[in-house]
Amino acid sequence: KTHGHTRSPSPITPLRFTATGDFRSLLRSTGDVHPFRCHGGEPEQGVVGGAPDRHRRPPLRRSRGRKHPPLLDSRFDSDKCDALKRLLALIAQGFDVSNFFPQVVKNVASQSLEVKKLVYLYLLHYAEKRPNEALLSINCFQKDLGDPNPLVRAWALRAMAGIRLHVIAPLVLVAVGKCARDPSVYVRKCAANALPKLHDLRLEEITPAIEEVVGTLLNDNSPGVVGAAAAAFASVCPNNLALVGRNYKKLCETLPDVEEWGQILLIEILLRYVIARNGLVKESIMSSYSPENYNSGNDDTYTNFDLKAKANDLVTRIPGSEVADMVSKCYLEGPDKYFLPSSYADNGSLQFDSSQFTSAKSDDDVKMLLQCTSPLLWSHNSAVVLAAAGVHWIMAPRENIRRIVKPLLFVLRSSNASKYVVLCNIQVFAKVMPSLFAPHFEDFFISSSDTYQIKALKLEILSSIATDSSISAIFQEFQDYVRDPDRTFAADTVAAIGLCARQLPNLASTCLEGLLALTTPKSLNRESGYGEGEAIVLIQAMISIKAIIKLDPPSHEKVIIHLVRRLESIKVPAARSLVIWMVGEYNSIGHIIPKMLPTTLKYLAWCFSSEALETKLQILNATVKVIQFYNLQITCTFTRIYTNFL
Amino acid sequence: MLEKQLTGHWVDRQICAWFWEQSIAQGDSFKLLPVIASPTHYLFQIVREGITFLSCTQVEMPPLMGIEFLYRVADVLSDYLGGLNEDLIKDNFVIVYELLDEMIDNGFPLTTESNILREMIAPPNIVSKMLSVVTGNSSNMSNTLPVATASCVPWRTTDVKHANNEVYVDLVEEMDSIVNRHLHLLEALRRDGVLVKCEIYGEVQMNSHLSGLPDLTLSFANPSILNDVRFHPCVRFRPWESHQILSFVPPDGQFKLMSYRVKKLKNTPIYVKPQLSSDSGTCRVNVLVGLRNDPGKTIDSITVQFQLPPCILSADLSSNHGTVNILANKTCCWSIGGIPKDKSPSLSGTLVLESGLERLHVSPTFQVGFRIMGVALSGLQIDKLDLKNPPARPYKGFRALTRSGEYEVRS
Repeated sequence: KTHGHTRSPSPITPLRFTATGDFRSLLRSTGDVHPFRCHGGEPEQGVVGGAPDRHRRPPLRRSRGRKHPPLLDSRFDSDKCDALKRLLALIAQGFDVSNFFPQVVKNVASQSLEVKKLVYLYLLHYAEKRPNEALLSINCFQKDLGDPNPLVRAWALRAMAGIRLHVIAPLVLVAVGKCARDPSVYVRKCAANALPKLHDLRLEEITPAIEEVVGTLLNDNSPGVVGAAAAAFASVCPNNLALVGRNYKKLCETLPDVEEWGQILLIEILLRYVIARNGLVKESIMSSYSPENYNSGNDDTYTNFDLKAKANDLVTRIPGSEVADMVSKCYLEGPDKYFLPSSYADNGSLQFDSSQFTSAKSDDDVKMLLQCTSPLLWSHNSAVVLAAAGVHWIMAPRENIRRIVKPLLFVLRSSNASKYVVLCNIQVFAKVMPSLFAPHFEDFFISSSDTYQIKALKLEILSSIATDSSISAIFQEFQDYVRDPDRTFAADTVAAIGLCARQLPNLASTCLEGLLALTTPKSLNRESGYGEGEAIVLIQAMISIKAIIKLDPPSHEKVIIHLVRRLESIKVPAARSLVIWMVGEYNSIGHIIPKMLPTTLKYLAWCFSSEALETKLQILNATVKVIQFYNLQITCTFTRIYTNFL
Repeated sequence: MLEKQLTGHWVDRQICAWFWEQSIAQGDSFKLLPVIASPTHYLFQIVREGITFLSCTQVEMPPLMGIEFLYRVADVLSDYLGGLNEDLIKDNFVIVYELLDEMIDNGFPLTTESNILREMIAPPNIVSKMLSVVTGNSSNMSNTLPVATASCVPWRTTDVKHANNEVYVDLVEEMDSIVNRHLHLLEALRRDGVLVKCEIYGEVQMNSHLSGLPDLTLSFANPSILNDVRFHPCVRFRPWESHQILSFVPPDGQFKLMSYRVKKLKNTPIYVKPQLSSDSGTCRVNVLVGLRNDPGKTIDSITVQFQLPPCILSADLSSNHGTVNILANKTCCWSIGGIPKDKSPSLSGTLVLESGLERLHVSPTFQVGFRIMGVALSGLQIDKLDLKNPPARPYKGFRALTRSGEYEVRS
């Protein structure tokens, strides 16, 4: 059925031109338009990757041997469909076939729904480019709006609103208003969907009328319409919370019956309304923001999680009231406004006083919101689950937040993509309130089918929720991960071990033992160096060791001695530098290290010239620290040696 | 590449060029990123059967909404076209366009119920092709609006009529399990791993062919074992909250009524015991598979699969039962099928390590597959299925099936 032209090898294989039949005849109908001018030449540059040979010219098949009437002007709907389908094929490939606009638009009046649908698809694609011709179709749409078939009415409205021309905005507004009172739910739903299109034209004079229709539709009796109206509200007038206030109770009651997509947006709208009206809940985590085990000591640890950890520190360092203030502002003004600092202050109508808190136990609005979102935690749509969980996270009293945990964890068993997003959210929740997820640590055990991002997130969550009772099981797991063939992941695990040790200090020595074992892999021949993967693990192990030692250097004296003794066998420059740094930093700890210093520094001086740059720098750094701490007698020896080499 | 513009803010195709450039430069790892920040847009990506579905946004929105919608599109397309691949999409691109146009309007989902879509746009099956030849009517669009769009049960078409009224309930369970290598002396003696985690992810799948507007209640004998649940929108929340009863008006045809999880199972039906010991540049592999806990039904389609670590140069593996294949990407697949009565299947052989390595310092994970018909290993039992306003005495069928999910044995 397909034409035999070769497919380009690029990943963007254009659509094969599959519709059979005569392409010429379609072109012929255009009369004045030369077929080769309209698509024979170069296709639009840069539409797909820019390479012209990627858009093969659609093959022009010879006529089947008899004279065809131009397909678009044919008396038969099937011919018209054929022609339109071919045009769509060309659009799909990125060709510009807007030249056929006049011929196509004529067919809007067709009685066949399929022809209509195809015409709409074409028309909406090009309406902005050919406004004048698009206007020709308006009369037809208006006629269709009175059609007894609701499908025809709905489509006419959708197409009309989709044209997006300022001139016809008033006409569309009238049509929307009429359709908003249509007996058919489907038509009313489409009316709701048309509102954002109309609003996009940014015509100030019709804005109040649009908002009024939003209000009407939010009050609709059919849940299907309410869902679409919520979407319209979110994009047309997210701050006109009075519209929500009028129907708040009804909206809450309808919420479980609204379609899943509408639920996602409606949940957020209701939440914003409640915060705007009543403020945050004083029993919630937002009002008393104090992370459970807030760790301030991780400023200069450069683990693999560095970036994320920093971002999190930013959040945790903000005092409670400011967070509450930010959260409520974000919800009051809508996310878009909140992210633009300029519009921050000029919000006169909705001034929020951050000292204003309400109670989840006495406030009916809050109670109702929590109640109507609870069953949605069972939704099969993960976006709904997450939205509902968000409401509880912000508004529920601390002791009741627990109910979001299991549904969130269950979402992890769905697709990989939603797993990733949900894990990102859990990560934030777990940082603030580790106890929430601590009993469920097994759910974050890593499976070999997880993607790298998911593995990294799980590791980070595991290390932030580890407790004294779960840590042994978690360490058992970590031991397996360290043996994973993916060495980057193994290195991440090593970083996570370090994090755990810092959070649970009584585990530090166990962790150190495990980490030290990693720095002496028995699997390698003495002669051969480390593979690249092993080097990453080794360096990360050293970083973690260093970070743990730093917490309480005197008690880890033996570890430092051990490492210094093995300095000769540690070849990877970054790892070597870390040990040398420790030599300098802890030169005065205990009795043994000071005695080792002369030999160590001599050894370092001897191999100085053959070291990598970063190691050289650390040798100098360590030497200076030692010189500063001890007095001249050693100094003389070393100045001699170093002057020899420098 | 198929493109559909949804909102007034025209998205240039250039974004796809950017996407492919990144995708080619970064390889497979890029395909696994669900949310991507491009210089101009945020992209949501899912990959299904080699087809990439991409959507982009410039405004703040719930990312899961985008992702879930893409999955829904993939589901509907695969349902319509009987699978998903490049050629199917190319051959049916008009249907794809029509579907997309109905599924989303101005960037907001419109009709996503597969049942309803089927009434509006006919799937490209043989019957409709035959019809169009016979009647000369090539249209695949319905001329009327499905009644369901207006009803309070938007997932169900209202005037369904079936000659045979029947309803089937299937419990389809997947066992997720992690078995660790032996760490303690006792277990080392038994040569058996430690069960780190063992749970069941299950779905109640229904196939309903009932006339009229039936109202069903399904109850379990032991609902208390269910750890987590998620429901199809048709399930009413109240009866579940109060009595753990599923009360619903079903969609017509095949659908997933609920999914559930049962945690902390004590046992797996089969055991897989991998043993790797390496010395002076080679690694001896020995994997034993056998029946641990007879579920009372035959276990079939047993497979054991593992990825050879990158440091393996060559592998020589053979088995006393089933077939062993080593694929180009260094995946070793051992298809066992059923466990024979007279012997326990074993795989053995040697791996040659790359030069410089004496011993294998990493341990591959073994993925285990199996299937058991007729048993729901979670132990979940359906108590009864009641029908209100049934048209005639319908036929009720129940089945169960357990297969392996993420079942891993670490060596």
